[in-house]
Amino acid sequence: MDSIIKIENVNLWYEKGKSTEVHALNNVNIEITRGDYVAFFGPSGCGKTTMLYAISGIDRFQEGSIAINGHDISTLTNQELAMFRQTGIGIVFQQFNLVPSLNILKNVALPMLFVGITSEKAEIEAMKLLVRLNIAEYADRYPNELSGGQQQRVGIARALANDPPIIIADEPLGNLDSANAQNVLKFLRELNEKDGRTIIMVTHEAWSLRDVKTIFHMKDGVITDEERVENKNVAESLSKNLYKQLSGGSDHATEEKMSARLLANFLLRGYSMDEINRFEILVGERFENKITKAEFKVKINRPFKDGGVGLWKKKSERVTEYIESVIERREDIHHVHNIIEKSPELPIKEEIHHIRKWIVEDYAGKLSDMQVIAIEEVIADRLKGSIDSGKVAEVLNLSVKKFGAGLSFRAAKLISEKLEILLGEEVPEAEEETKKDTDSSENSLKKL
Amino acid sequence: MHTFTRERPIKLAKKTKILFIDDDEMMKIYFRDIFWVHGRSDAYDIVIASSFDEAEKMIEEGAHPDVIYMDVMVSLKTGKNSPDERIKRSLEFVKKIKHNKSLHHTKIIIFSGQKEKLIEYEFHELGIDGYLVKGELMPKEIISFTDNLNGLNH
Repeated sequence: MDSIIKIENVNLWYEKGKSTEVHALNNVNIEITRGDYVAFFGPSGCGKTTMLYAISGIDRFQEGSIAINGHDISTLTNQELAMFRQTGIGIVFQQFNLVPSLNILKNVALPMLFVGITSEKAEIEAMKLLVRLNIAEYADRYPNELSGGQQQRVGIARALANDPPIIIADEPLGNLDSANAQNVLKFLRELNEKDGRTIIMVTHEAWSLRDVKTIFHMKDGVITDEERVENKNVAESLSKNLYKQLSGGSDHATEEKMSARLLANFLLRGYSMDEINRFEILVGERFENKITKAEFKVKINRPFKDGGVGLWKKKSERVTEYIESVIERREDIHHVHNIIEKSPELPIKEEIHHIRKWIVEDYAGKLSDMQVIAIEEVIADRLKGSIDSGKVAEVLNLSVKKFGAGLSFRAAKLISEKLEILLGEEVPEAEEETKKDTDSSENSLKKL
Repeated sequence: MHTFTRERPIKLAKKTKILFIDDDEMMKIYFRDIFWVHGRSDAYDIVIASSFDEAEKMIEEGAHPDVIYMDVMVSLKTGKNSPDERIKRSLEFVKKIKHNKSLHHTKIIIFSGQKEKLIEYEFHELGIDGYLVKGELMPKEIISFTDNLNGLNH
């Protein structure tokens, strides 16, 4: 077997010797064949991201060896490791990690400059990559002018910059809607099948595994199972892994419990595990008819600190209708999966991005990166119900130095009002008017 | 050794020996790195010298490179260290290799940031096998250039 990566007896501890010690990788022994498409699959905290860091030489492991093409990377100096990271592997990040102050072309050219390629040559090569990823028309734009899906394509182009033989994708679909997620999977498959690159994916979502050929199941830092997906019947493999993921390893989980978990994971993409877990419990209670539809809606709308999930009103309504339709049609788990694969429901990050664009649409001034970040943070806090509308205006008005958005008092007030309209919270005066506004703002949001 | 070679002729086919001469730390790491990450360590043995004095010593001691990659701006440890002197030393080194009968098969490739056409011409006059400008080739282009050098196809 021609292995490109051979991992032997690897142990990695964080905070070794302290009371907070974590044994993140526990005696890992695996081989990855050249040209394979593998996934490390498991729940949050199972060690899969540490695995990625160890392979890419970001985290040093205390015991064992990781050989790339027969050469142990633990023997490399820091400079050699830095070079290996530039030429040997390309990483596609969940959060895209683009440099906000560089345009798209320069973002993709950057890794080439690091290894001494001239900027003329680097930009020619970067342009070829943008053409390949169908984003050449955005070459002069800046990352914050692009949608999440477009940014992720830039992320892939950048990962390919120095033509590395290994591509590592860290939860690459986490912040994408389903259409963009399908696109990313298509590109990854192409990089594997057409270019012959070795792809390593780290994921906790079964639907990311569609094209994967080898699956390493992980739990508590241990590789619990290595599965060759010989059967290229993708649907079958998918539902099998979905079942495994949703049943949490036990065979006793009911179909309803699994549907609840599937819906929770999908509808709340980008939310924290705590929020997803609480949502899953509520969906389960609704499935078993322990709570009414109205109670369910109220609970998911309530802020997290008050025992809710912190979905804002419009989202609570959409999600409730969703859950109700699943209950009415008594869908089985495969049908549920089919529905959500086509669902237009956006992950939280994308949603905030769209909302921010819409609420500052009429703002005449130019916003800096810091201001944009501050505004998006305020939106997120407001959506989750952890602050009220008054606080929104206050933070928008606060100076950037004090972690506010630095807007004038008047602009802060107008923008926070627009946010409230979007959230569909009742504004005491003129209720009819508000409702009309809400509908039109919903439409504007869809258009974005 | 011989019996072993006959038993596994493909796996242990003779590796191409490359002598890489450069005083830039990053370039030294980069050059070795790209052959390694692209899985070419089976085909190439790369040794590195940081000066022409060091390279000459290696050759005297029996190093027998099939290919020499060399910068023409390598800094000099003794005497004047001006750009002109450095190029003079590089030309002198090329002549020495060309006159060394035991190295008649050795290919010489200039790999330098020096883009001056007149200087390139001077080296071509001495019968070098290639002149590559640093930063104008992607990693894989360097590898395929090396693979394609006459008689070195693997």
